Amino acid sequence: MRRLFALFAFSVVATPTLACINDSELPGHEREFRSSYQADRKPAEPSQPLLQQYGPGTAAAAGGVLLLAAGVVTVRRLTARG
Amino acid sequence: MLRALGCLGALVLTVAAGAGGCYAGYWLAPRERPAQSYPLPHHIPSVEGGATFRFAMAHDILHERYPKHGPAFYTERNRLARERLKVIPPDSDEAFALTDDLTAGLNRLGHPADAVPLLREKLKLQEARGLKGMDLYTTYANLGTYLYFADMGKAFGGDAAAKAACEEGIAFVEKSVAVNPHSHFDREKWQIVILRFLLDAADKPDLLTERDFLGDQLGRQFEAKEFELHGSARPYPSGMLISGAEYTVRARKNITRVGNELENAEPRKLDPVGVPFDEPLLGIVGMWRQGGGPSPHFALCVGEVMLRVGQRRIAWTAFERANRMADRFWPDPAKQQFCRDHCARRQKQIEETLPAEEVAEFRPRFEAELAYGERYQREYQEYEAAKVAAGADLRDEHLFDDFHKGREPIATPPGSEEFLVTARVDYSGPAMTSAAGGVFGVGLVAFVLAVVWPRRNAPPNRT
Repeated sequence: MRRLFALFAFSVVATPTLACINDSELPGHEREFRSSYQADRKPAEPSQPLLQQYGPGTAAAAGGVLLLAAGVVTVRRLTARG
Repeated sequence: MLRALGCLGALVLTVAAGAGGCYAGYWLAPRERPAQSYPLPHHIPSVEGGATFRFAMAHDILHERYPKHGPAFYTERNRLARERLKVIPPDSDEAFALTDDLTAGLNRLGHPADAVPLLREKLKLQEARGLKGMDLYTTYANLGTYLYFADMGKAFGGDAAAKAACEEGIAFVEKSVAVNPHSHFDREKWQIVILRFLLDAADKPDLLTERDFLGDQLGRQFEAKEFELHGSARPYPSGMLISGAEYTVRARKNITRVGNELENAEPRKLDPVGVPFDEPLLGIVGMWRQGGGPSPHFALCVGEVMLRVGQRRIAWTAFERANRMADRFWPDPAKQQFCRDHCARRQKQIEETLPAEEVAEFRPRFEAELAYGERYQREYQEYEAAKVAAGADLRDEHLFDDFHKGREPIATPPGSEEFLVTARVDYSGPAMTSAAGGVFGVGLVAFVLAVVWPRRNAPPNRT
């Protein structure tokens, strides 16, 4: 008798949870559900120091400009003397 | 001669400056690429356009953080459906949809057996109209579900006819999957797994103490070092995601697989046999939210899966929730006690891997969050009951506008736990910086020499 009662109580409280029910509300619920979790907050990425970010490029560019300037100065001096 | 020596000296100086620049650039270069974050592989849907899992979803079902209709809503909707069904052709599309609503309401109000004859009649009318395939999907899914529920209690007691009715129910749900394979986050697929598991457990109750409904081994031990490998909030071992490029190409292949562990003594070697963890979890979330609420079997399974993907805090919460629902685990009190003991054991294993001061906060925080979610649902149902009493239209899409006004959204926003953050050694960095330093050194010395050189060697003034 006790076992039967336990079975009855179990079937009443436990079983309806293990389901997926299809009714007119379902499409709206699903849309709402998806939109609730759509926006992911990306973790803040530690920003790289400016020197590390642009330093190598700037140094190379500056070196190139200086080399070019040195060439121009040398050529001008040579042509001026010639 | 002097001029040649001067040229040689300038050349040596320029080369030395270039070498110095390279050296300085090499040592000044950062050794790590800046951290980059990638969304975890389970953000890629298993089927195109499908929903994707977020850890916040598991957190929210465990704390009841979602809106749920109450008895007043279903009672009123059933009343309206019955009235309408009296005046419309019984084989019309509207009548079929209303029958789904009516039977869903009956089930929600605790009368699944009353829903079965209504759906059998609906199926007969649909077939008489020549409908087939997808048109029969909701009938198959709902009829199968209510058939199972109506007889499950007796089936657990060993009643052969009831077991046959449950089998018929499962067969209908299987038909619903056949005609609509990826409906509603694959919930029917996982519903079949849990229903069959419980039916099997009626014959062999020891299944309940060996595995969860996915087949995750309950006796499996977790070493603290396994969690260290996974990291505190990273659900995948770092070795699986070596680079962003590999991640992009092999995304879903990198998802940790769960289930079916008992088929083999070495669960880790069985990975390909299991399923990507996000698929059953989406099914559980769907069944919990739209099915009928919490279940100890779902909570236990969420806990076991979260353990396997390194999410210890959600796992702890899931075991806490399962423990508190243990009286619904199985009719046998011994099995209920097993559920309590197992959950407590798992929680202890988790607690041993985390700082004591954090662990001390777990239970009070869980209780406060669960109370918050339950209060939200209670107020939601009180609000709709008041609306029903006032004669509001249940189909009005603005019915709940006043309820939501001024309230924070109940869903927890996903956060950093959804991303893999990399901080890898960058071997190309020093080479680039070194080359840039060399060019700068050469350029600087060449320019200085070019400017200075002619002045020192200027021809004597002839005036």
